[in-house]
Amino acid sequence: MNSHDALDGATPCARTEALLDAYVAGDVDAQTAQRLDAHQATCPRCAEAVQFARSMHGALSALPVQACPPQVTRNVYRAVRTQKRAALRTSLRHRLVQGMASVVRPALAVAVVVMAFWWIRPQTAPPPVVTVAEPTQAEVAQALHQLKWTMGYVSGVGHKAGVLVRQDVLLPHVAHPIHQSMEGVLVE
Amino acid sequence: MHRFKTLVEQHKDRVYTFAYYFLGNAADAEDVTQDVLIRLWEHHTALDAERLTGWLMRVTRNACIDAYRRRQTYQAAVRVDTEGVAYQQAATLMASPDAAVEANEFQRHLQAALSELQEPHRSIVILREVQDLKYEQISELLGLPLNTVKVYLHRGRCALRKALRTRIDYELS
Repeated sequence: MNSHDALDGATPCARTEALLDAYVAGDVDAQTAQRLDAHQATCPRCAEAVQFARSMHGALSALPVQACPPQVTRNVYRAVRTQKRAALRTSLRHRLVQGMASVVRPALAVAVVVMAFWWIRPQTAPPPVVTVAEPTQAEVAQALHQLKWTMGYVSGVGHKAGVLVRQDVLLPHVAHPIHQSMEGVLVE
Repeated sequence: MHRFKTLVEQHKDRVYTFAYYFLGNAADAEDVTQDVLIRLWEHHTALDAERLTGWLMRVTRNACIDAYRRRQTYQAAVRVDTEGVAYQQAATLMASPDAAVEANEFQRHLQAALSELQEPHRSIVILREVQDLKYEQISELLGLPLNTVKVYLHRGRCALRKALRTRIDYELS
């Protein structure tokens, strides 16, 4: 330490006090060290202070390296082993999940596609099977009889209304079509 | 794991020594050392040999500061008192019958006074005087300019000397 300019006006004791630690540690220049040596020889108080500082400096340097207790390293290794096991479990779990995902994802995709196709397939209903029993001769005769009776009745009503129902309405628009379809059935 | 064990064997005493003198307490030093070495396990693969020592001491110092602050929250803070009062707590810390090293009275007071220094003076005194690191190493470790390290070291020695003197005078009286 060479910050002595500010101490030029100081008393020798004040200068000694300010530079004491650097002096004892050997961090002052030769000239300053000489001045301090000279002052010590004449000042018991500063000499004692220097001695005290030297003792402290020596004791500091002599402070021993402390040996780390064995239980500290044992605890550290135990903690490290626990961390490693936990990390391994996490890694295995992660790999298992990834492996399952690599199987489940494609399977899900296939299932979705199949379901989509099933959902959008065209809905065509099969034609209903209708079994029609062929009418008997008696049934046909009865139907014709009923029809003629109905036409006669309607014709009578029409006659009263001044309308030739039979000629103008029933025959062309009702009887004939029915007769034709009846004939179609009878033919089959 | 083998490399980690090698590093532990190389550095455990350095870490423990710093923590011991910083905290002035073997139990706290053991806790800090354990925490630091576990952190070494978590980071040692990312550190090369050159940076490892500096990293380790930085982590140790930070862990010591945290431990010291935690202790201060439930213990009465003991400051260096030039009037010569209120040293009892720090004195009992170092006078533990379980202390690994049997220190003489002067050394006992010295260690107690050292554990009371303000930061960063305490760290710098320990690193320079006890662990014999060079100024450049301390500068890099603490992230301080070289001249600042020298100034702090000077102030730390001065404060330590005064605290030690007051302790001894107090005990003698």
